[in-house]
Amino acid sequence: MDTAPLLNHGGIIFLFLYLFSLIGVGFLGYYSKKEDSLGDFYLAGRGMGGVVLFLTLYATQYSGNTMIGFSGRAYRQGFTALVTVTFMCAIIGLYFIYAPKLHDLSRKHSFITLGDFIYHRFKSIHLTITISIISIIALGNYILTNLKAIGFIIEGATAGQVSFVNAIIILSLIMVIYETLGGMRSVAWTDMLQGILLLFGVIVIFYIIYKQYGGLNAISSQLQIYRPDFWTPPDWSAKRLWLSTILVVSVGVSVYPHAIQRIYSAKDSSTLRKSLQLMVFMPFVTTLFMVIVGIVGASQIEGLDRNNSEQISILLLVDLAEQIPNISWLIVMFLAAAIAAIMSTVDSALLAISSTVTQDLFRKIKPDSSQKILLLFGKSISWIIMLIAVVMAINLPQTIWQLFQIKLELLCQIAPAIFLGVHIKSISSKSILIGIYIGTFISLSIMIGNWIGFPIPIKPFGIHAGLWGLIFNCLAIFTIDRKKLRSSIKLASQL
Amino acid sequence: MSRIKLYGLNSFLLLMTVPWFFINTKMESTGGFPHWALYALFSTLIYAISIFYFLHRYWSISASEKTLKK
Repeated sequence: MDTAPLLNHGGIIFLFLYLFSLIGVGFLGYYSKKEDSLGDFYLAGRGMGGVVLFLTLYATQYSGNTMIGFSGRAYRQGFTALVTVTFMCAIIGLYFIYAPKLHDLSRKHSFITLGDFIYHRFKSIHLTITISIISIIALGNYILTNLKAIGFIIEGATAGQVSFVNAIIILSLIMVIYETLGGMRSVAWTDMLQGILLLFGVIVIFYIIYKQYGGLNAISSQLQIYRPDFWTPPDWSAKRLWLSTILVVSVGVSVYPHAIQRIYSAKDSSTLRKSLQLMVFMPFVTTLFMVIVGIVGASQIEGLDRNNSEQISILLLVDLAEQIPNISWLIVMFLAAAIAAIMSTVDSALLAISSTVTQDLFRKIKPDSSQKILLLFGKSISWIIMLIAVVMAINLPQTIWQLFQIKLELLCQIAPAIFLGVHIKSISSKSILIGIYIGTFISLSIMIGNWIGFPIPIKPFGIHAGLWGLIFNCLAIFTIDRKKLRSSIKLASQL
Repeated sequence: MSRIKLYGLNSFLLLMTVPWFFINTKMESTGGFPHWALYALFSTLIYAISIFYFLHRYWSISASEKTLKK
């Protein structure tokens, strides 16, 4: 298993044909552009229809973690991994709070980035730059960890025929080419392909594994012998952790700058509403399926450690391929779906960083730049960011790798600026800014303090560091703006 | 429904997805799921259906400019 490649030559050729076809989609995006402007490049001319919007939201929201991480978690933790289904639904619940109004505002004021809304709402350059920098760091970390994951997947699947370094370089090159060719149009169209592949892959793999091993009902007696702990309900501290997980993930993911750009890109509010209505049920056919695959895996293969348990889906597929002839195409499909899921997230994050640097930082320094210059700058930034990410993903020592896994903890701290900012006019930039500083400081202190050996638990009282930061962040905001907020809340309860 | 009540209900339904009321281990299952896991799954489905309905019925309330202007 360790040395035999999961992909035969045919599989590798199929995978590379699929990957290079994405460049073709990039050219389609390039030739479909309406004008040379930031709005057209970064938001696809604000004309994204229902199917494209839904699939790009879907492909962006579900990363490689869905295919690999969720089933691995279910293998290790059993049914408590169902929390992943809840937090994926909760993300849409949080969009409901701010997306309707933010979409309307973005139309009215031609926003391109999250920073545009922040500057429009708070009129503070300091706050806009702070939020832009936090977004860039979080998205940069996202790109880095995903690039590294994709390198390991391809190297593992080809048993080293395509090395870790080559895999990262080839895939990064493909992504940056199609991204800079057609911007959001290319990214959204490739997301469509990747979203279909992801959804189809998850459903087919779930169906075959479920059918072959007999499903949860059939394996439950076996599971009760091997893993009786799966039947134990979470105790109070685990329940607290369950809620904390839902909150930290849903709040952090719901303010992804690339997701916000998709809210801006929607053709109209009805299109956005319908896409979100469909999105709220996707965890039941994506996340839940992968959790069940992980649990079925626990009944079939025993004793995997943390790293190996992340491969449980592949191990089941390999086991199936040994039992049933001509089913190795399933492995190709799984790998293609996992790679598609990762790529669709990385390209969106790259586009969001490029637009943030161009619109929120460069344009503030050079406000008179023409749209052509801004576009050229934005595209150059994409190449530079990708180059830096590739070099870091290949060379970064494992000892400081943990630092680059901080993403949601940072994004949670910018959430009040969006959720409160969109609804409460009286809230001030000063309170939001102080809240962000306090929240970020607390989150990072807990995480880094734990890593360097201070006696601080990574999740004090079963609550994530990012959530502790968010709690103190909100406390700071409510303390500074308490009088204004009291009257606003009173008013809102009457509306 | 006011915006505060709507968001409050959204939060309450989300809070209820945690299997708070299950304490003792029972080796019974339905459809292969232990009962506390089935509760978590069904309460999440109810939450998802509620969000679907909120998006359909109350989109305009969430999009309203009223509080910003005041």
